[in-house]
Amino acid sequence: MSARSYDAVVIGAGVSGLTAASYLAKAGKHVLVVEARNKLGGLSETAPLGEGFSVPIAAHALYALDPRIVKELKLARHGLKFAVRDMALVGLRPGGKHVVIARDVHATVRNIAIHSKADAEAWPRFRHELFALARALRPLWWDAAPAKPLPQAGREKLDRLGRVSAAAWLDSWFESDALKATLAFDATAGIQPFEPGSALLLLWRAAQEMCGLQGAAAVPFGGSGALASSLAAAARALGVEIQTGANAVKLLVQDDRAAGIALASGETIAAGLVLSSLSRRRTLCGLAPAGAAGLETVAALCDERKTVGQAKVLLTLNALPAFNGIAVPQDARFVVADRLDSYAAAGAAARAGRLPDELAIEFVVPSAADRALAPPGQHIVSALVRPVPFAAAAGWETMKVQLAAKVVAALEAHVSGLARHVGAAQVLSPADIADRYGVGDEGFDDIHVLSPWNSRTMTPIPGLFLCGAEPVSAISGRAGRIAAALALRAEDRR
Amino acid sequence: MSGEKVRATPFHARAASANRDNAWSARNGVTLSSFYDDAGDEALAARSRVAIADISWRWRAMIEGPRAGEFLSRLLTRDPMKLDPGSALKALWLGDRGGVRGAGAVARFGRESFQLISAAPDPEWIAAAASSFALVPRDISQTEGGLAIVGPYARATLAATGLDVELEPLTFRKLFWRGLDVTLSRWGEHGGYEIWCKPDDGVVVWDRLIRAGLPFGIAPAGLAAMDLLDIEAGIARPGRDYAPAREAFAKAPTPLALGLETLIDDEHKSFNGRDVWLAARTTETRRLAGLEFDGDTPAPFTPLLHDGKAVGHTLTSAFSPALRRAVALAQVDTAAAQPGTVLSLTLPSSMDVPESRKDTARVVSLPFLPAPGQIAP
Amino acid sequence: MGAAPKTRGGGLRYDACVIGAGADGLAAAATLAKAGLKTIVVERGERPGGRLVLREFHPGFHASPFCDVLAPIPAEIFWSLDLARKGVVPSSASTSLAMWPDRSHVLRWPSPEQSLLRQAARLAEETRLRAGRDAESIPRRPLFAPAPAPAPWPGDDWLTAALTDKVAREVGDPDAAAHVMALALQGRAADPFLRGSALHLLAHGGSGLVTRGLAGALADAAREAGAEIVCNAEAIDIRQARDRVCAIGLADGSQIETRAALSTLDLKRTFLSLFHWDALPKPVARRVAAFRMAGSTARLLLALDRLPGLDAASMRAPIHVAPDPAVMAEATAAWRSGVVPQHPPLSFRIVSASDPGLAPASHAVMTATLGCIPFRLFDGAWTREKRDLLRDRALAAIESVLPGTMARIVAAELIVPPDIEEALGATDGDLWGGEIAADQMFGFRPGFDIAAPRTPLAGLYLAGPSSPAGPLATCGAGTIAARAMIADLGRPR
Repeated sequence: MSARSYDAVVIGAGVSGLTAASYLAKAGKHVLVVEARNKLGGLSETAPLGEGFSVPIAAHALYALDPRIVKELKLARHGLKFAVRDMALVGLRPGGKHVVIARDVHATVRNIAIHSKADAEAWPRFRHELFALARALRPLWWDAAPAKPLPQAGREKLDRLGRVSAAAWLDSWFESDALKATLAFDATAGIQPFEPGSALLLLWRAAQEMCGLQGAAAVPFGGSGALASSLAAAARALGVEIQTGANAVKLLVQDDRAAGIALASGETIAAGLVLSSLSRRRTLCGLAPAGAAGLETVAALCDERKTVGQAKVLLTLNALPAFNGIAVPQDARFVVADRLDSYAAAGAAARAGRLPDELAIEFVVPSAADRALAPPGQHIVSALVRPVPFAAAAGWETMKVQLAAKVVAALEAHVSGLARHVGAAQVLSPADIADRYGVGDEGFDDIHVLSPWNSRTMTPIPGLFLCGAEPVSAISGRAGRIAAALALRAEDRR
Repeated sequence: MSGEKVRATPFHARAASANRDNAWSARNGVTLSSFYDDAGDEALAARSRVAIADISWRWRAMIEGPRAGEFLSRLLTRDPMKLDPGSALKALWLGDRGGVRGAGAVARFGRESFQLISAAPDPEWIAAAASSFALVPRDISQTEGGLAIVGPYARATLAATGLDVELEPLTFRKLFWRGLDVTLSRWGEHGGYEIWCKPDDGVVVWDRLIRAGLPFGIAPAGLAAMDLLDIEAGIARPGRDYAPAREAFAKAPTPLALGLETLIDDEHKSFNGRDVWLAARTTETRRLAGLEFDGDTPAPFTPLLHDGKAVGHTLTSAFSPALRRAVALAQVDTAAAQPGTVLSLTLPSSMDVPESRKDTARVVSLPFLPAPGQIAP
Repeated sequence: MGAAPKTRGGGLRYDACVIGAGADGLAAAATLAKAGLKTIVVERGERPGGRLVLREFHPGFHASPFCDVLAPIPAEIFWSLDLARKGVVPSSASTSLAMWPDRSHVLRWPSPEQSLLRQAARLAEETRLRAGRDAESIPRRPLFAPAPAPAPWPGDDWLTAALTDKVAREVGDPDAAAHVMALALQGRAADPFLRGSALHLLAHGGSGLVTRGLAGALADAAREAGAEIVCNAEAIDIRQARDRVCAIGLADGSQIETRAALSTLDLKRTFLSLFHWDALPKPVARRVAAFRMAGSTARLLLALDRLPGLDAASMRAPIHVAPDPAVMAEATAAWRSGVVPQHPPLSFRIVSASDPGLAPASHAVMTATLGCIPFRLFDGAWTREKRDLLRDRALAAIESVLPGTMARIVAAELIVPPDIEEALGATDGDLWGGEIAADQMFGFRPGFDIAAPRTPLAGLYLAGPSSPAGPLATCGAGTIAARAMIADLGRPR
């Protein structure tokens, strides 16, 4: 069978893989990206649903895209433009008194005062401390090895914050369920808001920067799929070769070092550097030779069964009625979650294999700002639901119908008449997402938010790196950029 | 009701009638005689005449399947793929961070069939590791009984029973022995043989050997005597002499600190924990040393001092009638582990001698005594 | 203002005043007095002992209202206080039983499942020693100076481990795993699937039985060393002069002048009931407010007219009823919302089988410990009806595994968290002095800049359950605090 040779081969043409490949090419390496699917983009995929609609299958808003990547790879020149630059966070509450958290602190304070005067007073202080702490922690998350260590006081605060649960932290600042439940949704990515370390997720989010604004969430024109195409264009402009329909099935190892990959077709690609944007588990348990990464490590990784995950519900609407209650911006990020306790109950139900009675949902209406995603006057809704069971006791096919119905009902409570306008619905279970993109099936502990980049990116097999190992599962590209840097550095040392 | 039950071995009936003082121990879940009459005499018998010992307590697991060789090759510090069916080798297995998890032997039964034998069981960890290779190890410790025949006249005794077989060390053979299916092997360290039989045949095997060995002065040897032979041979066993690395990702003990580095093949390029082993070789500060005490009192797990500084501790210790003094295996800082160094220690107090006494011990090179009629592996 | 407050001790000034004559307080007093410091212990109740005290809840029937088991007493404290000669036998756990209606599971020491508990016990011991070392090595610093970078604590990697994961790694059998989890979570409210719940294994209630003589033996040890113990004296106020503790005010209006005070009450009780809120420095007030405490334990004391039908070993063992991690998780969720769970985790013990003096001849005393019982119900106070409902639920659970028990009951008393708060002075009925959570354990318990036992207030020391060693050992925190006080106060004047 034919054998081709490159300096580096990158598995997966998602944001992480394309970013890693681009930076390796920038450093002069001859790079090949192999993608199993026929489509590029990984988690940033926009796909058609019904006639004339395009929906974001996985990520529906970007909040962690590293601005250095946008600048250094000149993504704007390759077609990346944003329809919404700074989404407000809206917590939809029964009775129409919604929580609206926007960049304008005064407006937010006035809005929170409807729920609690004390919380309104505390909001500016909380926001200030959250953003300041987040900025102080940025070097930890943005650089492979921070140039300056954190000051003593910062380290202590970090130590404590690393142990606090988001629920306890929010409880210490605020009293109203409305505000706490809305803010806590971001602390449910792979963890529960009552678990230690979940407060860090809020900090991590606040440490990101989109379109020059700290902690912002943005939606590109064309959905997140546009990000993928701009990255692919940038990569190709740098000389990266991208091959779709090429499924990497085996890592080739020689003298205990990575030596390339073998594809399902039988082809082998020889390369001294192999970067995988698949999950740690799929890479070390599936791709690498059995036990090559350490018998205990592999056994522990392979043993992990995720019990809880997140699901996507995508809806097409032939019209979007007005939201009940106080005025809210339609291009915001909406959270539907009753109380902090509901997250605990939802987690327990999800673990038991059942759909929670009260779902926690984040949804956006991408077509509100980007008209091209739907025919005129019509809309799409993209909803993220978590926690949900990873494997359903009764099977996910029946649960998908239930989930779609529950999501529509939850939305109907705040947008009267919405149910009538729903056209098509598509539900992706956690397993669907994992199988489609090769990520999302690993446990949270593997990628602890505070662990250094080395431990996330390097593997026990020299020459093999993980380029998709973000501390929090999100579209960012940062892991790819750092993996490329670490890979180059490791090669230089040889 | 759950909880570890203690079982009898296939030889229990005969062991019980020979056990004069009703002295028993439990090891790996089976009941064994600590000694039958006098541990010292039994050890001397094993060294100078012939003795049989119940080794049914050894943990044995069959690893069979298309990837069995591949798995064991990654697991063990020496490559079993090079073995021919019918032969065995001794090796260690290390955790991911280089700690010695187990030591034992692997015997090749067929192209895809191996048996792992060890003094200390490690079933869960090995099963978890094997699952990555789609293998399920099968624990056969209870499906066979084992008797070791040790001593210069071991071969003669076997010949007298009708098992006149020329067997190289570290090989084994399945035989049909006057109506019984047995396996005869030479995996042990003391130059002797082992017979593995079905549980129901245990009593018959025991009787045949005793009857055949009478002219040579055969005696059954209990655990104490066999452990003493191990110490005199300078072999540290997991579970008994040192605590193997049982916690996940443990770094200690290292092979060098236990004197087990001879069981690692430098030519074997990929085994679990190899990179850490290579690094630890240069950083390990302790070695396994043999100590001969000036007195008769053994001192297990006792700290050792050299020039007033703590330099290590003893592992296992016993009185050796052959040497007529107490001996111990110890883990000692390299600088203090040179043969001839004199170390001091405080003997543990006991009921008979409540006050603590000091003793000195001299480091000697291992083994204390050569194995009876043994060829080095 | 009237006359100056009457001072006890005839105008003498004490070196140390210990508030609370529980295990920590008495051990601290014994240690302080042995070092030559003039020590007095003030106790609100009628007798010293705190939660060690047994109560005659029905004529002839005695039991501890709060707990059957304690965290182990460290060996060196046991011997230095000479408790053996005072008749205290260090009881070691030998068996634990889990019973379902159709089957049961026995945990015996030693056994494979025990390796995890032994590991946890070893870590708890190392943590306690570390707390002691930290207390002794931290020199006096100006208030709120930053602490030196802390070395990791022995139990640190248990901080983010889920109990189910930790147990599943060592114990394969689901019944055995549920059994170990029930042991760890006795009386508590925690979801074993959530990360951080493995801490409960490190700091579980313990296995050493509360024996009848322990309170008396500790009090004797304190007195023999030279400490005074005053009962029926409630401390209500800590008075300061020139930013140092100078006296303790009592409920009867008198005061005790002292150079230093050691509070064995929990954090909130110490600072909120013994100080005026405005008088506390802001960081202290904030930390105290943010420290989470929540009661979760209820106790049921039963007098039986006949011994239940169990074999000899099981009679003395704690019996966990139908443990199930999923049920524990749901019960915790209910507890969080202020609802009494449908199936609260329950363990019971026939305490009179280990100590026949607790019950009249051929009778028995059974105590049950329930977890996930909220202090505050979402729909109001603990009324008679709600107590009876809970009692009936508990009895039904016991009956399901030990049929015929209900018919043998002569008397029953239910103690819920508000009762515990009233009787012991434990805020919110929290027997462990604060949530066992990652941000409230080890160096962060209770989390002042200067580690307990010293507090930011000069002359005030904290032992008791809200200190690092509090949930890990009995008498441990008190001894550590006493040593710190001895180091700080120097020789007596």
